[in-house]
Amino acid sequence: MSKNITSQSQTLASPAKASENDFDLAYVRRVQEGDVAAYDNLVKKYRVSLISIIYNMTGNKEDASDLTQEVFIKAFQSIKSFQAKSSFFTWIYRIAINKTINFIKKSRKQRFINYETINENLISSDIIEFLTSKNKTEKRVLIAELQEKLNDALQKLSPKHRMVVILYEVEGMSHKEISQIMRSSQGTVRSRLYYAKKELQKYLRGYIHYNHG
Amino acid sequence: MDKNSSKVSISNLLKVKKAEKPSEEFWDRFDRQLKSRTIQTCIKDKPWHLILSDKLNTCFNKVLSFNFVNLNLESLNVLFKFKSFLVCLFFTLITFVIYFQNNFNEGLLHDVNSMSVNFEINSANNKTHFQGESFFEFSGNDKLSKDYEIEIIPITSVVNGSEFESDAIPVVISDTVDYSDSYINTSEISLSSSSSYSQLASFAF
Repeated sequence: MSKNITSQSQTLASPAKASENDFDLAYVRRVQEGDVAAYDNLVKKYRVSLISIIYNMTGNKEDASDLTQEVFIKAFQSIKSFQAKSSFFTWIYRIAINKTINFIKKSRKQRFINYETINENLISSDIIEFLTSKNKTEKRVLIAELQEKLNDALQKLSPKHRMVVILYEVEGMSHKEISQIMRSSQGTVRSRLYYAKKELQKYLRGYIHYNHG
Repeated sequence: MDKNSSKVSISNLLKVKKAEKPSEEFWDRFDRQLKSRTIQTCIKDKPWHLILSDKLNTCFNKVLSFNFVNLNLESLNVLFKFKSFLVCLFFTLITFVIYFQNNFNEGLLHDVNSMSVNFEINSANNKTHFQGESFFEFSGNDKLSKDYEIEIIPITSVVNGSEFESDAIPVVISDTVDYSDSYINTSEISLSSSSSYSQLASFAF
């Protein structure tokens, strides 16, 4: 076990990530030894990012909630077989990605249900400027409209292209992390990202170039 | 490009997605659902026979306490079916018990009778086997019947006015006396040496 931890720490990008992984592994070990309550800490740590990925993949908050719960349950059921060959972070994200892609392939109808809350501080000043430049309707409505457009544009991408864009642009992961999670080369990740962005530019042309006043 | 026109990058547009956050109520519901679903996965399903026995126990308890009010129609139906099954089972068992008891008694009596007078006569490839009064199997040829006369004495019969009991009868073959319960092979016996009455009868006196 300790050997695995060391080998992983070497493969992880930064010391901060390595210590995070050690922290995760400590909880994993406790769960494996029967301390079920320790799993809550892992859930609390990863629920926000996992639900964000799944929500952006499906465009539906209810599906995202169900799928995220399924991911945590699946991880809980399989945690005994987790041998720390990869980090817990990579492992649980892989479960999430597989579950989400399977769900998207199975579900025929796509129904968007967005989150009502938007943290406006996180929205780029360019976007705010763009939205306020219109000035005719309320900013809130315009953000909701943009949300819809983004969802629509993302759903036009293939699940794998969508996943790369979400992990890179929304979750802020590195190419290396994405390649580990998706079990593909960094070159593949880069090319998928390039293609996906080009596609999105096509679909969101009206938002990319706009006129003042 | 026009001076009045601006460009927003895809990365900036996608930050709107990052800004979308679930509400507090959503997280409360999420945590509750996750906890209950996790607990459900921890609990193993009961095996069917335990579930059945639990249901029957409940039914019987209700019947014993004369509390039919809480029984719904379905459970009553199950109960009646089970009761009729029990009644059938009871009668079948009783029938079997009576039948086997009778057969056992007969078999016991028969064994006692046949044990004392059970012998086999081998002579010139003819085999005569008989057991007490109930069997007299003649699997040889007619020659044997010409040479020997066999009289079968029932255990409880009176021979010359004297009674003897089954467990007190030793079997005498030629000059030997055997008091054991085992079958006696009389292959060594010369059939011609037997008297017209069986040796068993002569020993009794």
